[in-house]
Amino acid sequence: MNLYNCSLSRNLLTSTGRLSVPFNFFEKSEILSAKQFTRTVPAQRPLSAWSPARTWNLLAALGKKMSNTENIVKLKSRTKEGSLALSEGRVAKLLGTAIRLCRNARGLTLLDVARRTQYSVSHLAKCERGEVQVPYDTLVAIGAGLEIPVYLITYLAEPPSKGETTLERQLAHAALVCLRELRSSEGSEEPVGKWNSSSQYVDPRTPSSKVENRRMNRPKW
Amino acid sequence: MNTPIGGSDMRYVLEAVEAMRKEASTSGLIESRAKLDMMDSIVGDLRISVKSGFRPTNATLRSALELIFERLARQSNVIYLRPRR
Repeated sequence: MNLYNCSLSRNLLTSTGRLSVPFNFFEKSEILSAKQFTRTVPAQRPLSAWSPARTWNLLAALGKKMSNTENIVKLKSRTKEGSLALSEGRVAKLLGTAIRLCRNARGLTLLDVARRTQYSVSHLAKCERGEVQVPYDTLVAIGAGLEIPVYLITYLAEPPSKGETTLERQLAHAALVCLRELRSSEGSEEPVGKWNSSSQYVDPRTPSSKVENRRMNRPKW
Repeated sequence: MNTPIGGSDMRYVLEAVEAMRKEASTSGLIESRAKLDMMDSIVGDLRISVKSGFRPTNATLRSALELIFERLARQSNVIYLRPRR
């Protein structure tokens, strides 16, 4: 089957609009195709038949490093067989996405969380990107730092299953909205004090200098 | 110009709390009268905020959040401890 020759000649025709090929082109190409470009269509293998050799071939074709096992996991998860079970990398990624979602809902930066949890910013960033597996104690610390229950983080990380009712999803989304709203209003509390006649803000929580002076200059009897 | 804050997002919260209230009344779970009243008051506050387009108070949001967390905790068989204030 000479596919190469056919496609080449068609390209020449469509791109230029007229046939402008060099002399003896077909003759030469026929010779070349007979020697080098003759390819047979390989028999298609079923998708479920997965073998390590096939993985290496695919990796080589994609031009990736063969020693990187994560790529194999990714590739395997794309196949029909691998998509049924959650791979390790996918779980870490889902958990990291959930952590980032909660952090954004809280309106905190990575530095804030790092200060609260005593973990480094780079480690937390890796956790969020799903590059490392998050152990349970780290997850508890992150949950405490974000002031979000751990089960909400893990719940958000779970992919939606068939038996799940929509109420839980609805509640999780509503909880995130409430958290975001509460976070946005943290700095803008209602004023406690009052504006006096000379346009000065008087806060009853902080003692004014007059009161302090009065206390200090109290007569001793 | 006053911008409506609690309009679109609060609708989700209102729907969720309403669904939770409906579930509490229809299911066989024993809920305390005080909790049901609290749910009703939260639903009322959220309805007002959605209609008017203004943000609900922090107390309303915190109460709604506590209720949601308790409900989700019950789903996953976890005891939810309220944070100290």
